[in-house]
Amino acid sequence: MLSLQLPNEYVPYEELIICGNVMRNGKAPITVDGRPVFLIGKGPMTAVWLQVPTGKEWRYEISNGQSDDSAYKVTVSGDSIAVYFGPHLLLRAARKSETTLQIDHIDLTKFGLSIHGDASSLQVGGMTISGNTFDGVQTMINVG
Amino acid sequence: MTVADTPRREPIQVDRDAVVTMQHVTFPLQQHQFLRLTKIPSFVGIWAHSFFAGTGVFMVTIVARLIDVRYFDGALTVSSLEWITLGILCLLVVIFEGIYFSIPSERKKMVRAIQSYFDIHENQ
Repeated sequence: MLSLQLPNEYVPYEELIICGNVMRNGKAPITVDGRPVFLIGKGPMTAVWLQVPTGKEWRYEISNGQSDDSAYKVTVSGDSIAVYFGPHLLLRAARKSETTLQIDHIDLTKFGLSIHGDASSLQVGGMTISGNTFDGVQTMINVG
Repeated sequence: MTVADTPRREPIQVDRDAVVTMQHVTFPLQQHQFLRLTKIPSFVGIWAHSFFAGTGVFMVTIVARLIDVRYFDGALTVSSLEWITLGILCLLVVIFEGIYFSIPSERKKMVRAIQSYFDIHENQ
């Protein structure tokens, strides 16, 4: 497994409830060849990163809530955050406490990634992942 | 994946080919198509939109004068000449915009072709 490369500003939540799974003291929920696909960090609610394949390269389309491409929208409402690509909802999460974040919607299929999930389960590459608890892992799901 | 009783200490490994599947839908735009989209000016469109903008500005001055007369005791009323001018301008705008929207253009055809391409391929 390649070493995990994280943005400097990113501070992970101690507990991440992600589509029916729990990651405690982890760093990135899903990585592809060591690259985090998305990150939602502590601090301001807009601390979100999204890295997707563009042709052969991967690049951060959203970096700390900012994007060069106006098709991406990061909307914050109270303790909730939603990330859109055009009309498509990519990510939705809510802060449950200072240390806990719950992600209840993921859909990255628009980027050619077979990653999507709802409040109960996460589907990665046709595999349904639900009801797992991870503790002290760098990443919950590694693709590669 | 089964429910684990104890916390997992290792990530779940998923095969790359199962996840990174389809590529972006791309439209193979050739140079002559690009030129068609960007470099061919639509004179009818330019005329139509110019008249539209000009008429809008003229209308604002008329409305401003009406408000002035009605609520601020302004001395200058809107003359019949100005009403006629506004009427003619509106008529020309309708005619020009009508021509612009009804005549076929290579640019519009190209935009439609690209739109339908994405509609078909994005939803596969």
